[in-house]
Amino acid sequence: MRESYGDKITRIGISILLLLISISCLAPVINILSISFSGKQAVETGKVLLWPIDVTLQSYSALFEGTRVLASLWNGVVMTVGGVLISMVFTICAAYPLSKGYFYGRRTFTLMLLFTMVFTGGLIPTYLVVKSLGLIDSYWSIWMPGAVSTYNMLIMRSYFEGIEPEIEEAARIDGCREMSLLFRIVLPLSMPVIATLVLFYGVGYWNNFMNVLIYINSTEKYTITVLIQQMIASQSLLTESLANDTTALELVPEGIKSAGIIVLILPMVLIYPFLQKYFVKGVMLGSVKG
Amino acid sequence: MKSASKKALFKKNVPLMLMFAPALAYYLIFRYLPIGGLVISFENYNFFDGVFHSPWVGFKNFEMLFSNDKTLRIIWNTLWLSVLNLVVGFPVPIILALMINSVRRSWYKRFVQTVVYLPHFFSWVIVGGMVITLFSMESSFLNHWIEDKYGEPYPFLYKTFSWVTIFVGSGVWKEMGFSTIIYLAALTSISPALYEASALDGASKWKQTWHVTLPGIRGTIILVLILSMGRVLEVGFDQIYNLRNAMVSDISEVISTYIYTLGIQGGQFSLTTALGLFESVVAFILILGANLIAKKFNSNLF
Amino acid sequence: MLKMKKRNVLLAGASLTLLGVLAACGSNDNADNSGKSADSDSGSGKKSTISATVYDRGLIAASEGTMEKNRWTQWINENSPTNVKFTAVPRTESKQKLNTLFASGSAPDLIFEFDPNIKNPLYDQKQLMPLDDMINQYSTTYKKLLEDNPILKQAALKSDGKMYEFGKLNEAIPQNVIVIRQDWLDKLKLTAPKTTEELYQVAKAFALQDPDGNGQKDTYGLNIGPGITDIFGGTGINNSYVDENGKLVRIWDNFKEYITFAKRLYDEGIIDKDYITDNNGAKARQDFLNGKTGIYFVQANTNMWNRLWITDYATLKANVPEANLEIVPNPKSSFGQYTVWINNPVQMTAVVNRNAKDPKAVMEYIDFLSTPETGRTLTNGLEGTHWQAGPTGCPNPIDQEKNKTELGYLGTDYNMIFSVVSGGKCSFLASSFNPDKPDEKLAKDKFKENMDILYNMIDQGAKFPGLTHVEHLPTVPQDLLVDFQNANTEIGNLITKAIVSGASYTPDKAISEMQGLWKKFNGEKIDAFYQEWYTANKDTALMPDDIFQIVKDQKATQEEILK
Repeated sequence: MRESYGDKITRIGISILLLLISISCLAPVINILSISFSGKQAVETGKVLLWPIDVTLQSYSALFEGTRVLASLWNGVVMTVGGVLISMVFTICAAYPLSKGYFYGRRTFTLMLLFTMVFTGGLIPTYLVVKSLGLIDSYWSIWMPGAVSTYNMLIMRSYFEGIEPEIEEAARIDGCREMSLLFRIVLPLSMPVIATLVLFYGVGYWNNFMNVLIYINSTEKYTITVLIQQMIASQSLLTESLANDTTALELVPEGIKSAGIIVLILPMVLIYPFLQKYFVKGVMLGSVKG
Repeated sequence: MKSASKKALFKKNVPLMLMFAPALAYYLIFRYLPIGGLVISFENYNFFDGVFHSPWVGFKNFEMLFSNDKTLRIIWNTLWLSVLNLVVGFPVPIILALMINSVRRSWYKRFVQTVVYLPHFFSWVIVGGMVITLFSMESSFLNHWIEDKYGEPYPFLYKTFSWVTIFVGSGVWKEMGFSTIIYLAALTSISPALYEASALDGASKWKQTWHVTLPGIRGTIILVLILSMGRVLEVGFDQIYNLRNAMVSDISEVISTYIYTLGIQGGQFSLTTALGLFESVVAFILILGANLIAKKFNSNLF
Repeated sequence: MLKMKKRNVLLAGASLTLLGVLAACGSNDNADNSGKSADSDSGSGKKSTISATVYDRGLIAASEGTMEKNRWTQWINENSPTNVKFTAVPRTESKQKLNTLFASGSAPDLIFEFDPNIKNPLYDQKQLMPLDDMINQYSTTYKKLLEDNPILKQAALKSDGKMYEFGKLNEAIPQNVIVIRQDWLDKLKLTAPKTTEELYQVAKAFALQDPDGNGQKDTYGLNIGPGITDIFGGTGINNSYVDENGKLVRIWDNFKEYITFAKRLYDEGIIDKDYITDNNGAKARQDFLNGKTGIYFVQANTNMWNRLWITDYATLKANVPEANLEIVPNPKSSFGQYTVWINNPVQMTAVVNRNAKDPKAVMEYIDFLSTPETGRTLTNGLEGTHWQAGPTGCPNPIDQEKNKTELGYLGTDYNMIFSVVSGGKCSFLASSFNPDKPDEKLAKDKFKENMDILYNMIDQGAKFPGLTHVEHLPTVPQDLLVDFQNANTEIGNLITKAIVSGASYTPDKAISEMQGLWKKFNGEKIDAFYQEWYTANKDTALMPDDIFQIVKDQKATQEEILK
């Protein structure tokens, strides 16, 4: 199949455009990376752009020695992995039945769940419920309220609905019952949507900042995102109210903040390529012949 | 015959019901129970009396909010900015996904995919700072070039039109990579046989995209569109807070920042909950509306 | 098919195990905040336990532990008459955290918090315990402090006449400072500005006459920074009153003068045209450190003073070796001389939860925190380990690096009750300068110079830039709160717009619009509220005269340290 001249131009054009976009997305990362390896004076005078100046590991050593960054990294991993497992289980439990046309109350339930996507009780009522269940200060207080994201659930449901009914028919004829159908046929065919939701939930739990601050009391359980975001926030949002409290303004140099940001996003950079291989084409092909 | 098939139907449903039960329990306990707390918007809530015993004021909070013409302006701003976000921000990830999908070399594809989703992880404190420097009057490369050419730098951040463009643009840039994920996943479910068939018919790349690819992800597109209706009154606090300045305050004050301002000097839980309730009602109506429209195209959610 | 089944089973098994393990971890750490459990480090079990908050800033080394449990909490629990269980409150989200804790009835007994906007609503919502009884019955140290310093009691009173807050007395020192590039003054043969008109002229010369000699117009006359509005009497909307025979009269001149001044600077390219997007002064600082700013307005109390004179001065000199900084006293405005803004000398820092079960224990802890030994330990560390007595009799650090790790996170967070008057001269900022090091000696000399400027100004009758310190003004009542917030925001925006909008937006126009806005947002009612408060409280609340008096009272100690 030779591609036409026009197609070739388009292809090159797209490649170039994507390159430009990639550069625009990489530039901030490179800037922060450079700052994290640069000397204090160079950073403070704003001289560091895309290349470190006065290369030093000082920011990283200050970060690793002066804060609980390693412990909070581990906490982040635990909270994310646990959360993803719980959320995937609950989401499948919701999405699969709702994807079957013969499920009793399907329309009502869908509407009910959709309702909660826009209506929430707010921070204090949710906190009171979680507290009454005794979950405060454990990761369950993050996992349980976040067990299902209705948005994600609807995406999964939509995917399940898109699986050709012939496949299900064929399996039933072979004697497959409901649960086997789910585990042996549907889920393996759903790797793209599962990978997508794993990524969505994973990123969601990893980035979770406010909920951890509110529901977790012990700072030893704080996750890496909380640690780093506090550093970033302390120098901007509340400068007015911090005027009485000058301890804050001094303590977090730009270099350490930048090192923290790199540590924070590094897992995200590593995990996406790993999941990308599950976005495989045409898994459903050839499953039903004739 | 009828009772037999009814029985069979019931049998098929039982495992489904068992499966759905924990999910339902989750929703009832962690979503519906707290919704009871919305009663705060009809009370003058204080900690001492608690959620259900604070003095009842009926619609007074709503009156207080809506009689203030500032509230109306803020709702207008929020609508404006988020509609713009939607109009620009909705197609961009789709186009980007199509572009990425068309890349043949797997390493380049993975590289672009990963790089493009990174901005999603930066907080607006960082991105805002960079955007401001990029468009500032004195320290940006852009304005240095403009100054050389035209003599005077352009106040991008201080004029409403350019500020809104930068606002929407930076928001789209930050999220577009992450938003492509769902489309990239959807694209994998289009059978290559369809592409081969259309290529055999002599279709160019463009035609293939129009007749094979887009219809293939139509379901996903409509789903995301309907659900985006639910976010129409959400303009993120962080983005506004880090990009705004006094000159554009007329357009940059939105519901989320208003709630923050109201909350500065005191509890104000009732007012902010009332405002949030209003947001939710509007969002729900819009989702239902979008769904009705989608029904006409046979792609409704429910 | 069999492989699939096996994999699923393994996956399921792994998940369940993981969940089980995590569940076990979760249920163990369900913290009980009511403070009843005798979780004491000293193991005696006889001391009662209270719960208290402590700020978490995330800056504690893993080797030291956490803010709830580290060598200092251990020291406190060993030495204090009460056991204290600490609950960490994130510094940048203290409001949300405290609100949810109170709303759910799980707030600790003792809350340390700076922000009156967080404490006042708690009072309104009846969440706080009045302190009069517990002080009378159980206190010794703090009670004496109150007797010696009645203003501490005064500032703690709320509308029902009872005390609700514990506080501390701070050094009354300037909060901001103005420094000028003396080398530029010398080069352009100018003298330091003494009036606002001269300030404008000097700034203009700095911007237009290329004082850094590089042939480019790339210098700024000054930055719009902390303290600049105080030259004109301050521009706080709730602070712009003058007392005319007991009547509070709202003034607008301060706004007009400031807008006129800043507008000229902006229109003539003397200041950074992007200053309005410089949210936390980072760009201004950068310009200053690069040697581009001639007159620098910066915050300079407590450790910010060191940052300016030691760290930043060094960075500046690295970029511009001939740079020479001098302090500039507040120039005189066209309707009077104002002092700089002064640190809040009477700062309220702690409140007690109304549901605290053991007020006696709380009071004993407060007393403990108010003693000189505790204050010194929680600031400087342990004698012999972290400090030893220096030539002046005050603690000198032994090992800077070790102190950084072990003391760095201490800050003032465990110590928010300690008054400088209790600690004597060693707890004053000036005592921490080591005169053997040249850069610290410079910081010390400059500090003396700055204090002398303040003393002179007060003696010559300069005015305080505002009705009084904002933390001592009352909060506007609920029904006016929304209007007040809106007025504050919009007038603030208006000031900026007036400055940067060019010739068409005159200061007069800005003032009349401002007055219109004030009227629109029930300004008259807000004025009436403040009038009522003023009439009732002007003799007892902390007023500028009281602030100046405290400055004078501390003068003897300061001079002794600084000589």
